[in-house]
Amino acid sequence: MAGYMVVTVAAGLPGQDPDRVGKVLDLAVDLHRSHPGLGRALLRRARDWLQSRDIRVMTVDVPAHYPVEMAFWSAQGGRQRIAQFWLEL
Amino acid sequence: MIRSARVDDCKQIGELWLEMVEFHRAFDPEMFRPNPAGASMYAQRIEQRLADSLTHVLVIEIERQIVAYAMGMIADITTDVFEPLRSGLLADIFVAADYRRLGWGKKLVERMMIWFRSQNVKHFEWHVSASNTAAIAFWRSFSATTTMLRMRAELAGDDE
Repeated sequence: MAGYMVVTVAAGLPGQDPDRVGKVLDLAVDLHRSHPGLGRALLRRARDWLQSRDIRVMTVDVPAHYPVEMAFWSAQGGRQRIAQFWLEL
Repeated sequence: MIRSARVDDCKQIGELWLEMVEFHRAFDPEMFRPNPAGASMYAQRIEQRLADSLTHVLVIEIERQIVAYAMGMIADITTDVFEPLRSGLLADIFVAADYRRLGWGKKLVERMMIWFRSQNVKHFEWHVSASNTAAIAFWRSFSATTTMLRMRAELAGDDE
């Protein structure tokens, strides 16, 4: 196994359109193997799968301050839309 | 005054929610697109949650008008392949335009934090539009930490 991706159809934001979005749950590739473009290939298949279900938007949550992952998703057309914050009580 | 929401507040909360979405839509029109029935759907959702002991809805009422609200809840924020992590979630918070910069947002957050503590959670999290610089500055004032960024891509063939 050199990589895998999990994508699902999830509810959109409450009361807003679209009511369903594609959501990337996991995307992992084995960095110890040389498979250039494997992440892009997985993503292409995921996009096709979502589009076949009339899904037009895909979201992914990326750890903040992780520039490699951010760069990958930006290169795939992703734009940062939401920031998640955390506060200790 | 700040108080817990009641059933008869829900319609006004739905209207505030629509104002919040329209506010966000001004700087991110692709992300924030209210369903035509969104306000009533949201009001219904709030009403259903009022009886849920793991949800807390606060409002600010001034001269019999609801001018701000916040909804918080308690949830396990991890998936089942991780150890459970019980946390507070601040689902929504909004202050109507005419009542901003008066400290109401901070008061709502502080009151919600008291409720979170009463539920024995050690932290809470929430989402902010990445384009909403005023909100991000507001949250930085609480010394909050950014943990995740949500990215979004339109899929090919989108005709919007």
